[in-house]
Amino acid sequence: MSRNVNVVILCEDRQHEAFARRFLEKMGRGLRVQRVEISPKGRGSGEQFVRERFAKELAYYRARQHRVEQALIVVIDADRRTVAQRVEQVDAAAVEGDQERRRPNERVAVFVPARNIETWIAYLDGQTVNEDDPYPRLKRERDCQRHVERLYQMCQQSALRPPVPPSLEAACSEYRARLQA
Amino acid sequence: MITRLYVDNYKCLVNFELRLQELTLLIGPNGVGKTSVLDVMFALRRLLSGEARVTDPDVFPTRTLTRWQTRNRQVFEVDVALDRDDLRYRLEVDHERGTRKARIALERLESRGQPLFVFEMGEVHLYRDNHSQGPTFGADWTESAVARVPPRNDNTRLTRFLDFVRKVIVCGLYPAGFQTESTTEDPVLNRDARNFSAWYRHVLLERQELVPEFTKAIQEVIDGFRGIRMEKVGLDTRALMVMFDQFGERYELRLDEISDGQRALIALYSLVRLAAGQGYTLFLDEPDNYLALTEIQPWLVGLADACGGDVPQAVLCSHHPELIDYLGGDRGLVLKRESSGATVVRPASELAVEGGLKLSEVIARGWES
Repeated sequence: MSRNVNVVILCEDRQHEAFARRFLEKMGRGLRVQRVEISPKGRGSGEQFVRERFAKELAYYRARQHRVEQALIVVIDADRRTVAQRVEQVDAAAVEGDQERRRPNERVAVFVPARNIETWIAYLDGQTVNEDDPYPRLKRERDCQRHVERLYQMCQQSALRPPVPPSLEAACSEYRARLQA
Repeated sequence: MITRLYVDNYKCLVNFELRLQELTLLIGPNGVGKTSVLDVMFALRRLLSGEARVTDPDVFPTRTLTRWQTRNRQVFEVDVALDRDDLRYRLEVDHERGTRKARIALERLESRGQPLFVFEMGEVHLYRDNHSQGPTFGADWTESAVARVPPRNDNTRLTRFLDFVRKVIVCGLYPAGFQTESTTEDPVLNRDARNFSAWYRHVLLERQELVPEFTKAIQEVIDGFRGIRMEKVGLDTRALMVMFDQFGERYELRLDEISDGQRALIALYSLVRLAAGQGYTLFLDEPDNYLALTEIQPWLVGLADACGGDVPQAVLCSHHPELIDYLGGDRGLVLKRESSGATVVRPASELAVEGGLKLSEVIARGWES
């Protein structure tokens, strides 16, 4: 069976990748249709790589968006910024790269865990979290499988367990608006 | 898993130390010693399997001494973490350049400095798991003495180490050389995987329950693939047949009748999906060879997910951008030859990657220093 990628995951680090890959798989987009573009972690931060790479990936997406189910997924931590600030940075990076900002009908979703992906993982572990404190990393990235399962179940029931981290709520809205519409 | 490998005075590896993760990618220019690392692991596995002498061509013959060194002693150390047991195996080989003879000067297995086995100057000193001394006797110093130690209930740590090393697969696939027919089941793949059919027979016997998942994985990567069947063609001989369901027909091809790329795909997915959970440590030389560009990342992602679990550990050597960009950032080690001739190692994450360039592009332009 030949491979035909229809979703590109542009992300900062291995935990982003593991989480996004598994979630997309649960949503019916398996490994065969995924393509991962991950920061090389060289000099400069991972979020810088994502921003610098975004305009190119957006251009590639736009060249093929007439094809069914094409999508571009960006995962970038908020770190010390707000979700809105980080999304704005990504959109501005498109303009800097000679691309128009994302249009509402484009299947280009930007997910911004705040403070970072470990916050979401702690929440999905059953903890009450805030978006300022750091939470521990998983021993292995693939250990997030059970967290993804939980998120998937919550999504199926359209009911995130309160109190929901606002960044996760925003991500769910982004998913519904950009990828399910 | 193997946490550290130390090599001195072997080919281009002089006072060379490599620290390994559950998944490691070795990157570097041609001739820097990536394959030599695999050669060392292959030689150690052969020696510690008790199937080879130290001077055998694929072990440590005198011609493997570093040419620009005048020293006659080679040193190899492997640190292994088996659950919570940290073990160090050290091998010293003395060569006579004139006669091309070699002997094992020292072979030692220890845990945190405490001996579990010592073979020095032809004399074996056995130790129990608690490091108390056992019998002493003479042994042939052209072969591994530790490989000859039978398992007992008071040397379980040594036995476990040997079992672990004997399951190290060091392989650079050469699909054109794959033999279709086999008369036995081989527990370990050869250096070029020519005995793939025999190894496949072995893993098939061990993990029948994984066949459906393995078949499904191959069906996703090879058009029309239906399954694999071992056809009896002699008293003990079986031929590996690949079954297809394509173009409205069901048909079979022998392993040597499908393409090199298809053979490579079957072998690579066998290593990850079918040999899962059997304790194989993988050292693979350019596994991307023969694969279509679209198929490299899916296999690699599957391997990365398996490492530390179904596959205890994998070490890959490659120049391919797909591997460099996917693994290089956090699992890449760059080998580089210094002006002294020695090879040194540094994490690929230390390379200067700026302006959204991919790591492979930095390396392709020679901008890594």
